[in-house]
Amino acid sequence: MTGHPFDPDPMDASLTDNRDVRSRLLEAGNAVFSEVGYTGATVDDLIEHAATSRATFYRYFRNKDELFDELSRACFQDMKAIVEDLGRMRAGEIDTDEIEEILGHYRDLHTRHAGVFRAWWERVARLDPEVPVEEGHVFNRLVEGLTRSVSDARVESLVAPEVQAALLYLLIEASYSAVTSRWSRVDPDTLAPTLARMVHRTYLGGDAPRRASRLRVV
Amino acid sequence: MVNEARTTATPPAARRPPRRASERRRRVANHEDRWTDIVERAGAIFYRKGYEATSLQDIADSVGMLKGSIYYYIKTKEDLLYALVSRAQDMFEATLEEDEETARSAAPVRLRAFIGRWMALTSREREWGLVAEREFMRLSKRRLKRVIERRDELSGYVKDIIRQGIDEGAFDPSTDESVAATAIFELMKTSHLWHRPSGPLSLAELGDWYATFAIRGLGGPRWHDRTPVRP
Repeated sequence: MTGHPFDPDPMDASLTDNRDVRSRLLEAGNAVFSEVGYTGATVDDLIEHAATSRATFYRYFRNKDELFDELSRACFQDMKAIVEDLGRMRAGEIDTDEIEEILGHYRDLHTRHAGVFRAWWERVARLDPEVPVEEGHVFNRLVEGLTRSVSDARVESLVAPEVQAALLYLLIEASYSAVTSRWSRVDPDTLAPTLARMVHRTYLGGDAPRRASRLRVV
Repeated sequence: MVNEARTTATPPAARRPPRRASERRRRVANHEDRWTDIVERAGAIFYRKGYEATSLQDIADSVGMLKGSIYYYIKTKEDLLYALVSRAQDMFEATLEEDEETARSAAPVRLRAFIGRWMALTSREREWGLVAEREFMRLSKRRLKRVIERRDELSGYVKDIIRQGIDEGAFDPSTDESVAATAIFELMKTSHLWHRPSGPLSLAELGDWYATFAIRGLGGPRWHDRTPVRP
């Protein structure tokens, strides 16, 4: 988390000296939230992971919420770039290789901010009214962009295009979340090719593959 | 001693047979009710506070019991988590049962039917499902292993259907069935997070879209997509 825009004022010597403790705590937050989730994580988990004391933790953060908010802002900064990326997914204008590339970027983002994503999911689950407005904007822009693509693809469904678009995002996010968890049996490297083809066919009007006559050996 | 295979249905105390049959029935019923009550309240508190932050005292307070009396049912807080996770798994395992006609059907039909059965369960036990999903990794190694084996059985079933579809020539043979199964399960599980029963979209309609996504995504023939009809 070096060079983070929310790092403490470098002129404050007492804080600057302990910069790495602070970054360690932020890294611990990412690791712990991604492993045990946000609700389940305790300050003890965080200080244990960062190899520091309670007193030190409370010198930098009032509580785990405050630490999370900082991680969350950093994540949404990075996410803006991905939003542009995903917005490129337009029917008839993108092939599966390009979708794979976008999924690869998403995977990087996910690895960098795994804890935030997991925590954010749990907050969504409880419709936390305090999810910062800025985060909402990023997500809305993402869904708007995808909605255009979904509408262009004209998939017949009772599910409204903007819901389909939000589900497309959730599908990508949930799949990466699942395969990067420690309990997954699926290699994250294998995700992109199959997922890209599924997304292409369903959302972007990609055609079903030509079926060569296959010799069935019984 | 807590029995590893025990799930929510059989509290340990219920296994001690009282003398008379009528008394036994009454006691068993009482114990089972109490046990179910404890597990359900624990689930609600874990959902709100998180498993780690919940104490047995919180659960005792919620059930209206002395903390000491809870030890009649469990040895540790983890026993409750295991009961919750097992109960969620029991429930979803029921979706593996197909009627004979479906079992003989083509892969896209079986897949759509499975997604329908799964989604029908999603509205029930929403909080439990979420607790099970987000806290199961707190279980002890031995139990975690069992839980993961049961998860694998579930995804194995979907992988089998996908393989069948590939063999039948309905699905894209270049599909990685583990990835496709993961995508389908994860998509279904997201409904827990945002779907509101009071909203305009029913879970059945949503499930219909998931099935369309899965079948079309796998390269399935379009004639298997049902044209949606407003009820």
